[in-house]
Amino acid sequence: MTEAFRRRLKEELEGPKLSSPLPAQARYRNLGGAVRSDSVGLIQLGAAFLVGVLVAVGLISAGTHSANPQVWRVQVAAAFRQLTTTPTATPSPAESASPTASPRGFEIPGIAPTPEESMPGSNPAEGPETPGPTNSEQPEPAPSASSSGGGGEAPEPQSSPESSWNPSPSPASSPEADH
Amino acid sequence: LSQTYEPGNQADFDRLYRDSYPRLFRTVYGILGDAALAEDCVQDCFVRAFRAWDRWRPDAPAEAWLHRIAINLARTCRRKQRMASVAELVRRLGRPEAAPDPGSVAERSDFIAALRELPTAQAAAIVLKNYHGYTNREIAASLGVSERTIGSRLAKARGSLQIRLGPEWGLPTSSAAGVDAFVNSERVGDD
Repeated sequence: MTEAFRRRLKEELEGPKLSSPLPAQARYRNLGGAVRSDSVGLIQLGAAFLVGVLVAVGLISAGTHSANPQVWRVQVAAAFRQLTTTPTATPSPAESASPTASPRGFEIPGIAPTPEESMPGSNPAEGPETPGPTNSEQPEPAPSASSSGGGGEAPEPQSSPESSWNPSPSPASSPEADH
Repeated sequence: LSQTYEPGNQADFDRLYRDSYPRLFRTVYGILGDAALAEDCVQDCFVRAFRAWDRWRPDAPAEAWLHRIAINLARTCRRKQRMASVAELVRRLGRPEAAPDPGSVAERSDFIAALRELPTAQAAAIVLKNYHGYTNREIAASLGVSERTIGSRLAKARGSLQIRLGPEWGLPTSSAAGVDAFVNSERVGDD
């Protein structure tokens, strides 16, 4: 390769005018800015995610009144269970209101206590154990009142003998009826 | 080639840009034959180099590394140019041929046109050897090929330029060194 060829090559390659290369005008500088903006965007996204997590934790803590994540889990599970079971027991509001109003109905579910049975009962403590003592014990005082006259346990036979023993009147009270 | 740079250092990359840009531009201009295209290609070269600047290892000269990137990009630009010219040819089928760009015609001399007709690797070898003054070993290290490959590329390029430019440039004839060296050397996969 001769010197003439090298000189010609130099002239040809240096023909186009080339301005002084300034790094500030280089294309890779824009790329660096783009990369920087991408990283800033990622940082902002991460910060937004953290803020969202903190807000969610605060809301859950306020809703469950507890800062324990296990409590959150239990509460969420209970709420979810309640949501899934409510469609099967739709009339529950009416039923749930009556037991709370009269808890005695739950204590004796087989016998529904009426106001007449509960009110005249002299001993309310014995009421639940012996549901019908007045009806079953009333025949006993009547014979005892005619024979011995000393029962003492039930004063009601004297107060209302007609109401309870009208079908079988005593023989002393009606001697003229035979005649 | 003996400049020292710290990988990942922004100031060093700016210094590398200032030091290497004109030389890279001359190389790519010799390959592409278009100043605007060469400038665009060199800018892309520095963009790619900047992305990999953290991973660059200073076991090889930085400018040689940049030359390798730039030559690969120039090869891609040439393919795009060919595709664009084919697309343009198809697009104006049946129409009168458009007049060539006066600027490009004035800019592109027969010498540059002859260089542009060479395959990319051969044109790069000619420019690196005869303009930048690199040795065959430095060119081989820069392009990642063997010295023997560089020798064959140079020989083939001289033969092609001899044919295109004529004997007045004192290029070695094909019987002397060029074509014989090319025929006996390995076939270089080039465009």
